[in-house]
Amino acid sequence: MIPKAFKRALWVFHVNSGSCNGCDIEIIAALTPRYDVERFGIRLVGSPRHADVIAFTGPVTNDMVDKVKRIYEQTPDPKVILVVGSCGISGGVFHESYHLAGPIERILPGAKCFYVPGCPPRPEAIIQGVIKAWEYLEEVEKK
Amino acid sequence: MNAEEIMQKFIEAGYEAKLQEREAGVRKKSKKKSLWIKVDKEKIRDAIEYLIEIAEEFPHFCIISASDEGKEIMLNYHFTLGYGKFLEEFIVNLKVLLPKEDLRIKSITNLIPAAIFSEREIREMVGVEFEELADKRHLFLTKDFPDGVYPWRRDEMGVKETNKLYETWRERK
Amino acid sequence: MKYKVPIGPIHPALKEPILLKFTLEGERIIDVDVICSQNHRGIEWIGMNRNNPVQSIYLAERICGICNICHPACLVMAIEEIVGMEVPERAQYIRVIQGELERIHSHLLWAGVAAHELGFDSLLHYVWAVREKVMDILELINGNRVTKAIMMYGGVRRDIKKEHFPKIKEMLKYYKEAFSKLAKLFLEDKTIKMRTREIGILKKEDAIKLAAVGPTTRASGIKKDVRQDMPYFAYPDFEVKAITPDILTGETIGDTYDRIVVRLLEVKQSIEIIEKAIDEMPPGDILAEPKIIKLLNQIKKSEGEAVGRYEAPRGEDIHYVKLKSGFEYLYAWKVRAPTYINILSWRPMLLDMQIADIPIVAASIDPCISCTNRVIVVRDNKEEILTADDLHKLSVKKTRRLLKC
Repeated sequence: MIPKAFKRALWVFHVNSGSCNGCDIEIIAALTPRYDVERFGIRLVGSPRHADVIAFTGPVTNDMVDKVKRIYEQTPDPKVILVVGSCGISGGVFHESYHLAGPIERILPGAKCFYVPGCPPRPEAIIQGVIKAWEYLEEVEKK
Repeated sequence: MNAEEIMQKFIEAGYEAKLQEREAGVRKKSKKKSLWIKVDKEKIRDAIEYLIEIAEEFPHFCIISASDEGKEIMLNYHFTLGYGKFLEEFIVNLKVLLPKEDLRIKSITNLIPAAIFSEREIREMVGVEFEELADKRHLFLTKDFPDGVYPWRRDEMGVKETNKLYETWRERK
Repeated sequence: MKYKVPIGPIHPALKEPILLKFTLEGERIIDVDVICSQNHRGIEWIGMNRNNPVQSIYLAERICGICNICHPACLVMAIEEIVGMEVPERAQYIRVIQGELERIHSHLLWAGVAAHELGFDSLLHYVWAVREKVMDILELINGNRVTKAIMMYGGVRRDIKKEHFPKIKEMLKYYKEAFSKLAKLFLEDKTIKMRTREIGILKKEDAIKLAAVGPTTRASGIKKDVRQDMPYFAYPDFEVKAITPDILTGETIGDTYDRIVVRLLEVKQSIEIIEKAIDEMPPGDILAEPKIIKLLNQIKKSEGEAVGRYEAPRGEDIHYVKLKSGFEYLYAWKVRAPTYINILSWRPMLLDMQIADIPIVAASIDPCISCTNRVIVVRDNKEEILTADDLHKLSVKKTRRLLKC
């Protein structure tokens, strides 16, 4: 059971930092009636200022590094990062390439990250990742 | 016109050409034909004008690809002819050799407008200068990618070290 | 069939990371500019310098997560031509079935995205729920929904067993019934017609000059289809014909509505091809050379160059491969995805259009997001930067306005 310390359900902002779109379509498939994550109240928002969780997909290419940092700074606290897919964790199949900038924990030191491995992870795994992030945020909010 | 006739016309005009075939299909068979033609670098615009002239329809441009051959760079221009008709399409490839000391060739965007992205990509990945090309910016690489590093080359101008940024487990110990 | 009506908010994640930069004076657009450096991962370099050829198949799959069979298929076709491998007949039929299943899933995905760009979010949810049936079948025969990894040099890695056939036939029956309902929802709706008829026209001469491929060019009346003109795998048995919109509507204009018609008719064509392939599947092995070490040695000894072409859901996909004897990696590899060349046709399509029409026109060529990233549209003089979010809101507002009258 998820405790009700948080005033409302989680709002997620999705950023595509150079991925192949496999993880993106699984995130959107999690919203469709088959997996239907909206019954928990979790929804995608259009601006990082309203978000609690930022979902990154893809390995971070050189071009996207400052955008990733800017979006992280724009999001208000408390916030949590959800790294979807193996690309953001260890580079995946692209790990030694001249155009990539490193894993997310190097680019954003000090951020609390939740990892959902898989290439791409199933929609159920993504929902489990969001719920774990939710439990963590509930604990932080209680204090 | 089918592949053999186009090959004959190019041989008559003085170019070297050869045909490569591959069969496809299980119960009914069909042949996939590719024509490989060697062109000198000064004559690339003439060869393409000749192709547009002898073909019945406007050639469909696919892509320009490149490979590093040691002392030279080979550029391949890929076109197809005969589209729109059942089982009659074939590929026409024009091969151009450029010596590494003089990597310049004329741009073909005045004849084939669709080639502009391809020429920009070859320019940043291999280092070939296309004369009379209108747009010379980077296509896929970032603006601040170091000059003089060309990813597809296999000599000293290629990418030397790849980053080991993802081996974070080494630092944890 | 029940019609679910979930009422949800706008989903911003569906937006491509597209940034359009306008320069306005009056209403004329003169140029389209694309910056693709956000998604460049150096795949060709990895294939040429770090991966052995079998690892490059799995790398080629992750070029795009939506069209998953087309890139490995081109690579496999090119190398089989250089090495001269004979592929067993059953493997060719399985490749055809997998390719057509992927075409159904990709076109239904696009139909949902197009409905979302117009503001019909409930239609998006309905179409994606219908799409789940084909994802179930993909999972049943491949083990995974996306990135299926079934291509291998000389055949396929997994067989379609006899116990799977009844489930596939049930899915085909479901889609035949769903097709007529989808056609009615998309093609006979008055608002969708108002938003897409005569919008984003690509004339026939422009399509030929700019070498457009796929449904974008077939909607303008040019019958280019690699499965018809230069068939591969087992397609010569099926005698596929290119689909143009005059089959259904009787006329060809080349606007956004025609592109919707072409894609929906292609779903129907894929259903018929899969049915025929299942009935006529020959028995036999699925791999010419099951031991990978022997296969890698065979590839290492061969030399030559070849071009592989495949009809992806978005258009013609082409790979150039060159092998050198004794060299462990691919000597040269060039990938050209179909969106690469379809972007050039945005320029004549967007001339004299309203700003609110840009999302649906841009989405009508089905841009694969991992190929295109940022677009700068340069008009005459005044500059204005709009993000994809603003454009989407403008597009939805226009639909609501049209719905009222």
